Amino acid sequence: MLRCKEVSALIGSETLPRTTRRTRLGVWFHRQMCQYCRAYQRSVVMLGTLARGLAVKEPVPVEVVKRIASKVKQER
Amino acid sequence: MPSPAPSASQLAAIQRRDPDVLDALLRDEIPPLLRAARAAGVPAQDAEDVVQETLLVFVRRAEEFDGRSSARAWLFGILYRKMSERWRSLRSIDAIEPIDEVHESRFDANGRWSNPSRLPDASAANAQAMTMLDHCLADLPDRRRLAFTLREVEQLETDEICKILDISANTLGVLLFRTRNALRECLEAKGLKGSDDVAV
Repeated sequence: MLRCKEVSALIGSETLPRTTRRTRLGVWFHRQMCQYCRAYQRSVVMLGTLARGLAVKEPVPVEVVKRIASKVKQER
Repeated sequence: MPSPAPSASQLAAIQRRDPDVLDALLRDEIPPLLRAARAAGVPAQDAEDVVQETLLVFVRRAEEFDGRSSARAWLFGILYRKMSERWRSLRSIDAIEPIDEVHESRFDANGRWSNPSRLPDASAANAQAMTMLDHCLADLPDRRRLAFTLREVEQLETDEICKILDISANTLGVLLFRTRNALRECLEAKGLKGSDDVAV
């Protein structure tokens, strides 16, 4: 039986797809029973959502893109 | 945001350095490259310079691009090599970091959660939470911040990131696991919490 510590490590490191089918099944069953590991998984998803939101909220300024593109065009 | 491998016609145009195709491609790739450079801890002005150098290398070597990965992944590879030539800290990875012990302390002797995470789910991703995350990201080691950005913001696949950073999938797993745990701890310390009654 997998423990929360192992399940959270598999989720947080994204190594689950590279484990055996038996392990993946074990994690699936564990998650069905463990609300805290489900919450951990949701927090992992939330971090990605926040990071992507941050990139959208603070975009790279258009003038910076133009400046770099123009320099590259000149030098190539 | 993920960037697919190019079509056959795009690939041919890149390899023969079609100016229109290259201009459009490079312009699209400047923001993700700048984000990655900044995530790697490169100062703003230097980030512009290193992105410019990266794009010039891409143009000069365009005929070598085989299209097996996306142009973005190839560009990130060039960018990373350029950055690690100048900023050595990007190469280092510690065997054990304090965050490992902090995460460990959340479990009892049987490996069950004794102090589970109380972070909210993605529906709570608001401007305030994003600002908190920004501050938490700033405290991370450069290499971990870069790995997290490539995975979560640029949404590159594991094998692409491993190729770019020249690390194994297991090492990348360790980097991402530590980063997520550090960010969770940091956000909780800043007061970002969901309901005490964890939703089932």
